[in-house]
Amino acid sequence: MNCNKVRSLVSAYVDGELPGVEMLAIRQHLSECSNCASEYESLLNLKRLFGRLQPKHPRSDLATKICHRLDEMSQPAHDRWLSIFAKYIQPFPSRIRLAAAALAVLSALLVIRVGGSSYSNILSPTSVISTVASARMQNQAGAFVPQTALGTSVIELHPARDNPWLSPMPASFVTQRDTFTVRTAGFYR
Amino acid sequence: MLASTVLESGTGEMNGLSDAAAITCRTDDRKFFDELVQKYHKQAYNVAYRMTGNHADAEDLTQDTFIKAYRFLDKYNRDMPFENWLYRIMSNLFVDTLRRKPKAHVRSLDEPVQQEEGETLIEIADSAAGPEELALSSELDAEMQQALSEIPEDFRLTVILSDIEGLSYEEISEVMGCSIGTVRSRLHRGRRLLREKLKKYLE
Repeated sequence: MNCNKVRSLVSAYVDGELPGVEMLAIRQHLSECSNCASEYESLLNLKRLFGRLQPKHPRSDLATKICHRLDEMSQPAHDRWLSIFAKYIQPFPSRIRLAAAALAVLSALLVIRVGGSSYSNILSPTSVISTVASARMQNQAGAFVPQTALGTSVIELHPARDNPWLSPMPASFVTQRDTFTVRTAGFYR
Repeated sequence: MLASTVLESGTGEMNGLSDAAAITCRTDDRKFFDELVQKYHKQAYNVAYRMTGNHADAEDLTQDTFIKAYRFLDKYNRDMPFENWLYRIMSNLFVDTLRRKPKAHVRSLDEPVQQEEGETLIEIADSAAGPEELALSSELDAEMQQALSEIPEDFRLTVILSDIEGLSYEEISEVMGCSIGTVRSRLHRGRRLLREKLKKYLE
């Protein structure tokens, strides 16, 4: 084995990661060639140097931090928000906490109402009857229709979803139990 | 102390199962995963530190590694030791993080800086009173860490896994998703670069 070949393999030789035949051939060469032997020595010393590095230690709370993040990750989103909210209001007296909770609920309702009313402004229904929403319906074309009350003959438009409702044409809708006819002529943009 | 207590009392090895086998039986068990965190976080952190070169990034990388490991625990292949699987996740995360970050130029302290009046070397104030007061081991540690930081990350991780963690070429090839020939080549080239940077300690 010549010097070039030995030098290309000597790093793996240091690790003992060569087939037996090559290991023996390199050992033979190193005993006869001082240049390659010194190459081998320097790589061996380098490996030993890194092997002697002291482990770096993390802060003592790293495992706890990781487990805490895992807890947060396992928690459903609404629980996360609640626990964040609870944490923020914890230092306050109970009356203020109650008021804050009430305010949060009211705000949430307001957001829902505002969302609804803005949509109502677009639709401006002249004949909205029922406010109960309990069943899903499909129109004849198969499009999804807002939740409505089964058994009521006139249906409220839910202020959320569907363009088919904007059609000025009368349309009929079928559920599993009943057939409804909905007058859409009263609705306009 | 806590980690070793948990290690002795909690993991699957107590029941005659390796961690790898126990993990595949208990993928949805949070408490069990907490025990794995306790057992492996120091080892993972050490590799993360040697990869990143500082405590803050090493801590972030270790945390992200365990979070990802937990999310993808059902993908864990029990043929691989758990710590090696962690290293694989860590190496992918590390490379992804490097891609996202704006490229920082790592400058060698020996690299001359061009100035109007010619080239000069960077001088860093030494907080220690004199060279004798700086313990050799910490100085050497810092020099070696600096040398590691200056070589390409593929070479760096290969050297860390081989020479610090003691993994075989086959294990490294599994962790890094490359052939054994590539491991050999990366070690060969990485060591030559390191030797050049650390030659004064190798004479």
